[in-house]
Amino acid sequence: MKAMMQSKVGLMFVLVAFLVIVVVSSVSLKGGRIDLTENNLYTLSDGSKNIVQNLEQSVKLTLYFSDKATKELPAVRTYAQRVKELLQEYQSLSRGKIEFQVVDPAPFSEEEDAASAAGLQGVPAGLRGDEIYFGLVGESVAGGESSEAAAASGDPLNLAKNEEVIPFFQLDKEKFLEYDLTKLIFNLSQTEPPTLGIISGIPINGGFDYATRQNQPAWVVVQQMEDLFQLEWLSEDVTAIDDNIDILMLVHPNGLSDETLLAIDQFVLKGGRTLVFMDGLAETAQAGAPMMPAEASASDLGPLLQNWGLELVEGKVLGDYANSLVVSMRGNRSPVRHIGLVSLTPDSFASEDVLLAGLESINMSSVGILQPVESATTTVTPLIRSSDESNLLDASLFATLTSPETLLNDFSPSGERYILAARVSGKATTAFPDGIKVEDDAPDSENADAPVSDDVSETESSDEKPKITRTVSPDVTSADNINLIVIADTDILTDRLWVQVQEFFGQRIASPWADNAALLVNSLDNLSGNADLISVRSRGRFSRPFDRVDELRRQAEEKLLEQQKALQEQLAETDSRLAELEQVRGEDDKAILSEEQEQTVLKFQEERLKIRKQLRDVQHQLDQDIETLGRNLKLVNIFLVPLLLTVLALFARVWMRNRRLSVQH
Amino acid sequence: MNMTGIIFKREFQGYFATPLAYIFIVIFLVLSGIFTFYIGRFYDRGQADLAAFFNYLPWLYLILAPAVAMRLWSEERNSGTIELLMTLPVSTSQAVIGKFLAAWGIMGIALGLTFPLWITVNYLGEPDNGVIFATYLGSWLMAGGFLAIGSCLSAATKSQVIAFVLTLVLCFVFVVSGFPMVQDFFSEWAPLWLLDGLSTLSILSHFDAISRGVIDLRDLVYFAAMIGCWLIATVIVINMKKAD
Repeated sequence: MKAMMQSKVGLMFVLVAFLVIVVVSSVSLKGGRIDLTENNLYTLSDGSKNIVQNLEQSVKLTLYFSDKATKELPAVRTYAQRVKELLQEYQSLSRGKIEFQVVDPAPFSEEEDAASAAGLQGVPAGLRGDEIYFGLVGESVAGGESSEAAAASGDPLNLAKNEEVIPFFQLDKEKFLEYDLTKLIFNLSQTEPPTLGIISGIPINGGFDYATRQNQPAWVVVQQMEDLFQLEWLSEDVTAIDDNIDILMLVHPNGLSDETLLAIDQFVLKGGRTLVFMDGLAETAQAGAPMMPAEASASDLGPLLQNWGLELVEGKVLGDYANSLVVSMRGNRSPVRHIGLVSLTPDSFASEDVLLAGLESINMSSVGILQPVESATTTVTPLIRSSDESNLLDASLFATLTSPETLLNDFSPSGERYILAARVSGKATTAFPDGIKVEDDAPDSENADAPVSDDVSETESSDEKPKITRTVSPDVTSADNINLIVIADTDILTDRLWVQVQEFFGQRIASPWADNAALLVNSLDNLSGNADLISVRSRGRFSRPFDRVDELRRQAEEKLLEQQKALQEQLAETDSRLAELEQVRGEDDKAILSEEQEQTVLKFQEERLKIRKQLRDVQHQLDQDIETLGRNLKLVNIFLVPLLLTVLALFARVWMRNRRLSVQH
Repeated sequence: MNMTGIIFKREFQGYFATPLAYIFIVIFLVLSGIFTFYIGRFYDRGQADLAAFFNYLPWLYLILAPAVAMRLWSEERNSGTIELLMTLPVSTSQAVIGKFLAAWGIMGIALGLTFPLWITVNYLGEPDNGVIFATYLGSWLMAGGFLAIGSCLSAATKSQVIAFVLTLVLCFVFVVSGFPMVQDFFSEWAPLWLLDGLSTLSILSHFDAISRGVIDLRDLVYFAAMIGCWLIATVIVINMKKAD
């Protein structure tokens, strides 16, 4: 031993030992770790554990990863390692219900064919431009018969139903890795997704846009809902809602007939869960028909909403200074604050409700205001409230709005926090206790006089068509516990408020920048009674902005707005005085202004220039506080400690010398 | 107090007897500040994390750690004080560990003095302090790894400059071995397991793993092995030189 500690053999031995320890530990020591992240990003959440531990069907997961082709891509390899380990963790928790394997689809191999057949996406990034695969295929293995067998038996439909695929693990979606995996496993374990019935007054499922004369794709929220639910689009004149619908979603209901309203009323009373998007001003509805009067762009549910214990404040939308967004304007105009366009953060959320757990920001535009009805038998729990720097704005202001800053002109916060979304539960009775009267056209045979074949323009005569009136009474008149979520904005669903859609290798990739869709899916999940998946959703924080800088920006804007207003008033006054003087001159063409008057004109003109310059300066000063803070922080961080150290060192040196001197003497 | 402790104290105070430690620390702090704010654009990024700081830290250490480590043994050998040290009732390993800990302590102090940055980021927003803590720990472990390499190479040569340059080169190799450019070089002929092994050996990949906020046993083992093995190698080298 001693000899070894003195020789080159010893060195070699140490080197080998080092290599062995590192390599062996990297292979064998898995799972021993402490997760220090705030949201325990790297630990399976209870929701995932619950779902995995309660799997009824066996699930087979195949991770396709191009091991050889990614030789040169350490970032991808590291992420693949993480995916593999997380999947192994799922497997170990699943009590044998999850089967997991890793496959390396080499170019031109059978495995590669299998991967691309399963819907995986090859990305040409590997060695010599080889396609690399990094995706997951999950199959549910029902009743001992695997879907492979189903495939072999030539039943492609069966295969499709039991398969879930993540085409490519994108590196920037790492934060949502656990959710994506849990969702995949959850979807596989479900024999059938819940059915979601949708009645929408705005074209969320795409359609022909008359303004641009183009077919519009469905909104991204639809794609998100399709991932988890079976969607059933109901027409706006539906008279009965099928029993197979688990959840009903109403988007911007407007002008629904009594029959449809009764159908909705009955659905709710029978225990159907309902999600309602109302709006004080649905901008999408307005965009489709710009000449539409403001009332038509407000949602209307007849007597239903009131009956559920809520009302939408008529003709008003929210203006919220503290939560408002800054929007960039066309051309060279500087960005302006838009108090009708709000980004709500956890401060505005009911923190105890699972719907909003972990959500960071929800963007809404021209939001309606909900108010509980005093005589209501239901319980209304606010989910989202505005800040206390808000007030009501006339919805009509938005119809002709060209510059958002004008909204600020007469704006003063009322100090009240308005309800923007609420959960409704508890006792309720039907909104139509006496039933409704339905007018049907009398059959033609009994209606010989009617000019059936007449020109359509003769509406008057067709109005005189005899009708048969019948009364439809509600089947259910009351319920002990209804279950609704009402959100007072429909613009929340539009792509422009939460997501950026990009074309990526021929696919539409949606990168969310706000949690609007998460709120929607959370609500639907919650209503479908699936709490486990909710707890997994949205674990990571997208961004942790500098709150203080944002606050400074807001304060500066507030202060500058006042200054700007005062200066603009001054400018207007000066302009009008100047105009007066000019008028005097104009009236009497030849009149020569007295020297005093000339002086005044000059003075005013100078003042006018000065005010205009000040106004420009005000614009420039906007970011000054922020820049100053940045500069100060820079200085403190780079020089403060070194400076202190220098002082300390010098001090110590002097002190030591003095001591040495005093010892010598 | 055991011998390691005594050596540690002597060495640690030794750093402050000359302006050496002070200069190292000041340069480190100023450079890290400049890297964070100007190259990492910390303030402009507007994100409440310290990525702008930690991303450049390995490269900063690449210079600083060899500078701290170079005098560990070279100086003693050059001035002959190593003979004196060996006559004391101190075993070689105790001396090695004591000296290493002193240097590691200095690096720790330097790292700790970047605390205004941590205060700044908490003042500006709400960072994930768990992640920051883990990354600080990872940084200190990384510094330990570099120093252990430096300790061994410093023992192998009388010249501080040579010790510095060799340490820098070797640390650089350990940092970049997970990088695509290095992998490129090997990928032509090396088998896959070797490539993965190389990446596993890279200090940077383990530092990155910790800086996600997860302290993995494998990363701890890696750094422990790194420090332990290089220190043992230091002992062997000193013994070999003594035997010469």
